[in-house]
Amino acid sequence: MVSLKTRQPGIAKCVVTLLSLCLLLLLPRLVSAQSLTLSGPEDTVREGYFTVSVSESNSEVVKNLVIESSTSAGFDQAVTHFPALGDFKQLSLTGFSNGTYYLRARADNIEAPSNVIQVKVNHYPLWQALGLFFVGLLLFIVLVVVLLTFHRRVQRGATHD
Amino acid sequence: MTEFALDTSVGLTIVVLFGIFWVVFGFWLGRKNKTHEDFALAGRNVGFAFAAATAMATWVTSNTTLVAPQLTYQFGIWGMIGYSFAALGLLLFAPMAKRIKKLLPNGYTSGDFVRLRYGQAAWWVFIIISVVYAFGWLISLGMAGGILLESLSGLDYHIGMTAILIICVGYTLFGGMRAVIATDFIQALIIIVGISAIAFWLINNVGLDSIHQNLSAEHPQLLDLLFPAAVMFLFNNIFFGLGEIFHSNVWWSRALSFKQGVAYKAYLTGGLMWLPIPIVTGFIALAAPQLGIFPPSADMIGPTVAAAVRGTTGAVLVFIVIFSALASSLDSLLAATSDLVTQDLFHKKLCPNASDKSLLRFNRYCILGLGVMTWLFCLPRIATLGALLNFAGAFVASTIWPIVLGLYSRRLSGGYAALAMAAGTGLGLVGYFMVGFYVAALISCAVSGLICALGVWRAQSLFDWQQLNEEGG
Amino acid sequence: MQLPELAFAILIIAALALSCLTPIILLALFVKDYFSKTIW
Repeated sequence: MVSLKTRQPGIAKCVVTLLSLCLLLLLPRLVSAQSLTLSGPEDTVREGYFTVSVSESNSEVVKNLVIESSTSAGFDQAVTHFPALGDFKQLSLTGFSNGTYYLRARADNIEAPSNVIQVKVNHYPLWQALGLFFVGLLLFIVLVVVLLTFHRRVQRGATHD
Repeated sequence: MTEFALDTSVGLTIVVLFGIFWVVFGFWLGRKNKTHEDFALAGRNVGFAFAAATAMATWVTSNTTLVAPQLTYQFGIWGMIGYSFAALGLLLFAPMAKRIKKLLPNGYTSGDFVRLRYGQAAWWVFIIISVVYAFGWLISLGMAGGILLESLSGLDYHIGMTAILIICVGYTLFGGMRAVIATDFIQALIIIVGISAIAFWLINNVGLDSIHQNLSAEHPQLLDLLFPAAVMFLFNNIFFGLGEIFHSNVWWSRALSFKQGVAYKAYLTGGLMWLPIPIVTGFIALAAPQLGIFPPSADMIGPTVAAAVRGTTGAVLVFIVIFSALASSLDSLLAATSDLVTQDLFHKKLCPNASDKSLLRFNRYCILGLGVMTWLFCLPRIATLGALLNFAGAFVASTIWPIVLGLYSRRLSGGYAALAMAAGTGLGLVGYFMVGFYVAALISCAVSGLICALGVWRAQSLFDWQQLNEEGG
Repeated sequence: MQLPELAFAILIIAALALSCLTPIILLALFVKDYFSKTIW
């Protein structure tokens, strides 16, 4: 059955990776300063779920990666924590209502938090959803009625149209 | 990922033990197969217990154990309720199965029916739809096998994928439909006991109230009964499921293999037994936020939670359940697709005078060939799970009306049926790419329905049901 | 509009109860078919 694709910020990710590679090559002495880079969906999220991924400048093990989410850019209210699973650096987050969310990544062995990304969640308008719902419902009712009428007619033995 | 829920050697041992068991079991069941009819349709004499179990187990695919939790994780309550509505496909197929058995007492496949009822043009459209769907499903199952075994136990993707294909091809090759149905019975029991045990453990140890509290505080959208994306996709998903069941030879060959008078109640019972399963597997995903589990991709949520909460025992359980779910669909699909090729292409097009023995032999080669082709397609690991089946909804939903009307009404002609399926698929695909995934099956079914209505209204001649009874079956 | 806790609990427990019933029904049907020799 239907499974849904999550949008990958392909170009942005490539640019970030390339940039961090260039930095690594150009500034070998600064390598010890580890940093986390968080990337997420660039378009407005219409379904309330999205995937974020973290890259680490030094490609070393990141311990206890946690994504923090807040509705304020300064992370001073209602901060929610989403721990990553095992060694994965990608998280699938879900169940967000309409609004703007600010997210950043933190890890136990890296002092500074990552960059802050902004994710806008704007669900489909309800009229559009209900419109499709009722069109589907109507079509479904017609199908069931047709099928059951035919079935009963056949049951009664009247196979002539 | 460096740590796996299960030791690679444990995973491999389970696969090998299960493999030997299923293949030997299939071989033992296959002793009775004397004719092609025995092999392809289990002698057309399957009893109620096996019939109900196979209807249910085949519909429990890797999708029920993986995509149902995924949709619940993404769409919340409507995700799991919506997914369980796919049971409507089985329930509505019940009266049709009875009709199929009555109209085609000697029939073999759904393709057979379309050819006799609607003629060549419609048959070609139908075969293209069937093949696209069957291959999409076969490949997604093969890849799902490899990906899952790898993510649970670290077993190499290629080894896992090859193993599950060899096992399923093995017992289907030896035992035919009998092996498919009997293994489905055991696999159904394993799947239900397994997922119920995990859900029961979650309720006992995490608690329904705390899961609900966590969701309403931190993921309120998941409990929202008016979640727009979920409300929008609901009927699209239902039509997708209806299309899958109504057209596919997997379900037709089952209806034809059941004993007289069993088909109707078997599909009804199978549907009712299937109904609660996506809710139970979906619930497992809803516990994830409370347990602090946020997987790297949403389709891994079910196995991840199960493995996380029960440690090694849970991982072994999940491993066996998913292995069974994959096998119960893969074997049915292999058998049904090879029947379609043997009967509709080989017997009717290429070699009309083939003896029973050569049909049986060709059918076996076909299963083997399909297995090898699936294996080749699965080798590059091209898509993520389920992505292959993403737009299959546009294809299969276009067959709903032509099949229903073809079975019951004499007024729909082949030309209109062919046009309905082709236009429905085409516009469904346009909707998929221009609007979104949530309209593909809906548009396809609506367009094909309108064309069929026109065909019924403008009918100039009536179909003679006797034409369905072909000489010699 | 949020699904209330009671409805949530009823939904999950009902689904779980039904799915627990399934193996029992299947096995009972099998035993019945076995003794009346109507498995195949």
